[in-house]
Amino acid sequence: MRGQAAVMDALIFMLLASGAATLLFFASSLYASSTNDQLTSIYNDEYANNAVIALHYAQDTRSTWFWNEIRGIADNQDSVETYLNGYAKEVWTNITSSSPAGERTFLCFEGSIVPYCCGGSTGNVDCHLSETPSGYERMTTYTSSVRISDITTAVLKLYY
Amino acid sequence: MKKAFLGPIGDDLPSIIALMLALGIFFSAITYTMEVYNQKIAETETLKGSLEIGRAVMDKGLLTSIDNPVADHVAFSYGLSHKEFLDNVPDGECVKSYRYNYLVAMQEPGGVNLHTLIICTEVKK
Repeated sequence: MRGQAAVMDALIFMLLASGAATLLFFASSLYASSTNDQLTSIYNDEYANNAVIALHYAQDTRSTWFWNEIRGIADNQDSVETYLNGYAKEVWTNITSSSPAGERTFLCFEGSIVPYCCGGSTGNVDCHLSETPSGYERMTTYTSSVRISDITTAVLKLYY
Repeated sequence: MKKAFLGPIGDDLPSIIALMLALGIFFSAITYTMEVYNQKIAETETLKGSLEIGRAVMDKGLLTSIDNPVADHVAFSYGLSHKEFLDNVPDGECVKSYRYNYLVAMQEPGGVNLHTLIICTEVKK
């Protein structure tokens, strides 16, 4: 009987050790994942902030400053769409090719105007009346904004 | 039938096997966890260092060169090596590295141009 009790004790100990090991495996798989996610978020925000700053130095093919041109036409989404597909095509290529979100990068306009967002591949940029592009409502957004006039704020949005 | 006496260890042999197995499982789990823990800390530090290098390179907004002594200093303090490329990464580069892209404005002889700055970082060997 004494031997059976010892075996039972050992089995219970093994059960406890297995439980502790499972907990350790579980904890190790979760460890630092939220920190790394936060660092990735920080990177996306920094990308957006730096891109908005870089766009202050951007010129279109006519050597007009990008934000200056946008400021004049921002209240008309069709003009912005034409501009991004035409003279500012290269600027848009630079944005989408450098962005970690690729073609899920949008340039949106808000403020006293009806909000709209422009995005898409080079030469095929579409602008839609909405603060959030359709189909992207549930995605995580990283944004950086710049006030380009008294009534308009341009927002660079990255969707994941 | 009465079982013969096998000695103090012999009698408890089945339980000792189970005990040793349990201890083996437990200590293996601890070793594995410590390995994962160290690996993840190193990964987090590399990510943090990479962001700091990016900040150092992008500090002035308008770049005149992609070589930046402050970025070198930051990389050194994190034990990282880093390489910067404009627009494209040559074949064979940046394969096992962390890669971060930024949109940058660069002062060049012809004027200011937009580029994709690619920063590759990895732990120094």
